[in-house]
Amino acid sequence: MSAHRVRQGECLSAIAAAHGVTWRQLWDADANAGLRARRKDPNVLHPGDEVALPEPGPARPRPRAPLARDAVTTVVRRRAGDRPLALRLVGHDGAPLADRPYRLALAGGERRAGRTDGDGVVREEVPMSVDAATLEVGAHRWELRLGHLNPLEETDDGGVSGAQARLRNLGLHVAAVDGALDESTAQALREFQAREGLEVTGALCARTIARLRDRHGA
Amino acid sequence: MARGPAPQTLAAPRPRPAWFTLQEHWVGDPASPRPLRPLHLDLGFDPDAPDPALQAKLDAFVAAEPDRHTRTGFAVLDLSGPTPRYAGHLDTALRYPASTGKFMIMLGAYQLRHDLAVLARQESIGDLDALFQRARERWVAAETPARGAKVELLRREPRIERVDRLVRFGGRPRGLRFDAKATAETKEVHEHWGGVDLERIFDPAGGTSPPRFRSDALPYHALYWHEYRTDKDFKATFAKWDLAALGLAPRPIADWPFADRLATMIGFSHNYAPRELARDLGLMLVNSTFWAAGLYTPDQGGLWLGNPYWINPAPPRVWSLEPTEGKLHTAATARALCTAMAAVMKDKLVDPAACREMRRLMRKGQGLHRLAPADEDEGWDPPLTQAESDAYRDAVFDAPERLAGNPPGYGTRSFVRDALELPRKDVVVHSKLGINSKPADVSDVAHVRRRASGGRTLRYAVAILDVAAADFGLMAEVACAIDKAVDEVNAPP
Repeated sequence: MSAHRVRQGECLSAIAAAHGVTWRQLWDADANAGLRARRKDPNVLHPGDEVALPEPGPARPRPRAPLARDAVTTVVRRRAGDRPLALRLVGHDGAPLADRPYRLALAGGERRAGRTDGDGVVREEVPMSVDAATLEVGAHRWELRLGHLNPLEETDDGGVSGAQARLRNLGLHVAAVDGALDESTAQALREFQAREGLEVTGALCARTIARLRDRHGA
Repeated sequence: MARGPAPQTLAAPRPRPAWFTLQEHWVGDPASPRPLRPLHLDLGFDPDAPDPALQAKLDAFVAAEPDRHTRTGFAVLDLSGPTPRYAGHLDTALRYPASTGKFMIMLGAYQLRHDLAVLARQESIGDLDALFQRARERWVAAETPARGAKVELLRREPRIERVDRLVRFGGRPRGLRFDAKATAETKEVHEHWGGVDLERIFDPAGGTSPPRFRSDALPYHALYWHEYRTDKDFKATFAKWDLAALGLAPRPIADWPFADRLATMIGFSHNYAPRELARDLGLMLVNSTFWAAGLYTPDQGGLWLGNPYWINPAPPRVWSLEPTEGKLHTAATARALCTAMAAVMKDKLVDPAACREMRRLMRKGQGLHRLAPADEDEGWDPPLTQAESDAYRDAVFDAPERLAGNPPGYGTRSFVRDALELPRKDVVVHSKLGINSKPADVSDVAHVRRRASGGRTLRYAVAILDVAAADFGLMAEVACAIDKAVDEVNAPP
């Protein structure tokens, strides 16, 4: 069985699509038990992770959705090569940006518009080939790099780049997402720890990691 | 029911300054502002070249009892004539300013509001959220020196240098957050300390030209009085009020809107209010204002706010000790305070409207600094007895017996003191008194406008810094000496 070495920006869905399988098939494969144990979340891989690939097999028939006789059935089929994007947007005061119009500009030119739900969540299906986008809600603007969120544990930078990205996503200031625990990262950690009622150390401890994961959502 | 993966949280980006930097500050009409520059230039005097006549009088006063004048610094800027006259004694000595530090916080607040108004104009920003975002981006951008920026040495020992807008102390930038490990009491000091809590300061419905401080126009007797721990007499006084009968429910000062805290900090000298205000403002912008205004210079020091203005307990570690001497977390010089007060009086700081507001906050009517100012429009007076007021006043301003025979106005008591207790129409005083409770050293910064003989109107700014509790009477004597000196140098020929 061959393996794919993850590069920065790659996600399981993209790897799976490139090899003609679903992300679930890769994730659940016995050969990837070690990956599952290390990463827990299939959406968060780290550059260098090895993903075992299945042997190529016969083409599978596409499933057909059963149609009821006496009801209108809406069949929604995901576009091949899409991945889900789910973001909960909050303002400076921590309140969700609920029921607000948003604009999403994907790299490559496609533009979309929609409305956040009652919890401030944006849900979109984004082509696998797109790894960058700009999201705007009112005066707020985010530059998104899709698939670039690193894990918080078992990484060669001690989870720092993963923490940096999450801290930034949570509105704290980090000079760069580069895996280096510099002063701005330490300060952002202190701020997060103070805000969460944790011991303020400026260091990445197990409790801080757990809280970061919880607050960030991944 | 939501489908798909659990969402990741994305908070509105809020760039936060990490280092102390020198930001852009402006004075004048937001439509055509000019950069804030050292105030003495706009006031038209050179503090290093005191007026010979005025200085000679102060020197004579000091020389009469030199041993008493080794600690207290004082300065006067006489604005009565066409040319300002400046004089001082130990006027560049760095001292702990006590509650005159609250005057410093007030300056920072109005400067911030004005700078935002200017930014809104410069970049045509009509939305407050967008203005806040842009301001934060610019504050953070100042941390990265322009390519090729040279290192400018500001002071050799201790080493203070700047690279573009970034200031370095001992070769390193100064962080805007505490180093201390958080405890249950102090973990809040880590919050917002470097950043400006614009959302807490400004009214979201207020627009951008200028932004409006949040306010509920709370009267002073809505204070949650037992926060006022340092003053037993005052607690006792407040306890006599029947707040329910007045229809008032006290609120902790932390719950008060920004403008109301500001008014209480100045008019009442409330001690928790500046802690909250300084936290909202962040220490960077306040100190950056002082540097731009020449109220702090690396070679002489000046106004420095390096602390969250606690009352008790003192924090285990402060943000930053004053750089030139490294002894005080909050510092001032008589020269800087006097200059700043004069600038507020002459509309030379921020803009005229802001200066009017600051003067109104400092306007003193009957009673001492912890009492509400008598508002000329409303005539509101606090329900204190004269005896209560006298007891406090005398503890601070007891004039020595040898001055007792002099006429009121000056001699027995300074105009500053007189204005604090007597409803005089011929004297207007704007001031901020400071009393360090343990020990009860005293400082004051004031502006006096009064009628003198011959129909002259005399105007002068005064700062008296750090009168030792052991020699309380010196405050009155210094103030009286200044009053007399100003009178004499302005006497008709």
